[in-house]
Amino acid sequence: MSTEILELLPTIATLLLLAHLMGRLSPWMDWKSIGLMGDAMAHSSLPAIALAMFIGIAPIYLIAPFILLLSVYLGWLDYKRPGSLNSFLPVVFSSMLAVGVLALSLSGHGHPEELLHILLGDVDSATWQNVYVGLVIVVVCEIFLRQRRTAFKYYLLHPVYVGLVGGSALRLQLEFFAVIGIVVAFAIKSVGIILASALMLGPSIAASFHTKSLRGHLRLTWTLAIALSLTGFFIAHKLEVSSGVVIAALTGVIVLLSALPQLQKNFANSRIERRNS
Amino acid sequence: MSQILRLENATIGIAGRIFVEDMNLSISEGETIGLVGPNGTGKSLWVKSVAGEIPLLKGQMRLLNLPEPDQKKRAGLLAVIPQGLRPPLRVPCQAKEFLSWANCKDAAFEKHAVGVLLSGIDLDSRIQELSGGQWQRLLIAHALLHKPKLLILDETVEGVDRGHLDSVLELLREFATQQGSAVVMVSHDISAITKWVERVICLGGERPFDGDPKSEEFHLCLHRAYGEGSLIHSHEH
Repeated sequence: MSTEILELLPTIATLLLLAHLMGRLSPWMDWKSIGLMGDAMAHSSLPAIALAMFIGIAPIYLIAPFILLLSVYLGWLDYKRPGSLNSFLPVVFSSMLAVGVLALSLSGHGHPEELLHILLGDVDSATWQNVYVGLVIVVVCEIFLRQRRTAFKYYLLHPVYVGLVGGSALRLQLEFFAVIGIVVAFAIKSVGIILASALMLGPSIAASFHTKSLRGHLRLTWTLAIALSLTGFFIAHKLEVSSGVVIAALTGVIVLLSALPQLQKNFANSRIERRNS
Repeated sequence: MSQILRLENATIGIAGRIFVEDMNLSISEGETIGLVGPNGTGKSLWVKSVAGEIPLLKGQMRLLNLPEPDQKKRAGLLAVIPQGLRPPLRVPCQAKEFLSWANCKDAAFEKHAVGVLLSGIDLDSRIQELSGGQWQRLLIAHALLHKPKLLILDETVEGVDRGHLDSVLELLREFATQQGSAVVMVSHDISAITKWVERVICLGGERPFDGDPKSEEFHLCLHRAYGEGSLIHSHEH
């Protein structure tokens, strides 16, 4: 194996682990209509980043617990007031971002390059440490999804159905939001906020235009997440540009292309209706 | 017949308002019960309390003699279809997939229940594509496939059309007697419900009525609960 490929292995492995995590988790977030969650959580990490810079430690040591706690808190809030999260998330997102910017400005510790690095990420410089952490998170995520799959399907229908399979709806909700928090923290550390947000939702939304069944949706989402990550990586490698940006852009294009047949169908239907009337 | 649900001096309320006070109730195997009463008398709250969604303000509840918080042991014992439940918009699920979640091991029972309840429904359809009544029938079929000891339908039969209603209600009664379960149906369709149940609970009077739907006392209770102008129309032709 050439030296170049060996050097790229941690990047490819990190991308595949992240794509697997997003591919497995994103349909459930999409179905629960909390698509904004990943984006809001990622952007809300700025106060933790500001504090880490102020103290002088690696941001991830504060980002991870901060996001985990915030995620579980939002999960609790969503349970107590169902449906309130979508109005609450944009407020959390913007106010946390504002607090972070304010803290950075006042402390004088805001290094634009370092911030840009965290926001855009740099998957190309992933290390084996990222891979090991990613593997642990994959195990945690898989245990949750395998043990709680049936209960979670019922939870999407109505919380009272969780009792039918012997579980607590609140516990399930908090576990799910904790897993989201862990995955988002890993994604920020490994690939940056923008790619994390793109992969968190894109594959599931694209898959929803092509599948009719739950099983089909889960499989297609996972396949798309892996395919998009690998394709984006190799295109970026050929063009010698950042992988994260290419994957995020490619995800957006696939989502828009997937929606086209549906839009065409709707347009054709409305023309037929107009003609008939 | 062994007891499935027992309420002792149960007081049910929410936000400082009491809807049901000191209710004593026992539901046994094989019973099909109607729960009726005007809007706002606490029928859905009663369902939520039994389901464990809201705690009793006072008194005790025992489901098959199990203590309340033991959720693992309660698994599969109680199935509740909440009022106004609609299919989740974003979940791409086919009707046959939804039925398969129940993981019913009794193929003969599944065939019979699905045959009666889901006639005329394309099981390959997405649950979002079903009409309101078809979705209600699918929910009932799915709940039955779990073979719960206590099945509670909160205004679930309301959306079922007249052509299917009798066979659905007959199947529910058959389920209760043959499987040793109990079925509680919350409904406003008093004449249809009382035709199929042997016991009815009416909320909304000075105190809850619990007894024979054909008795004079029940009609008096309805009169008190719904007012002077209340009439029950029979659907028997």
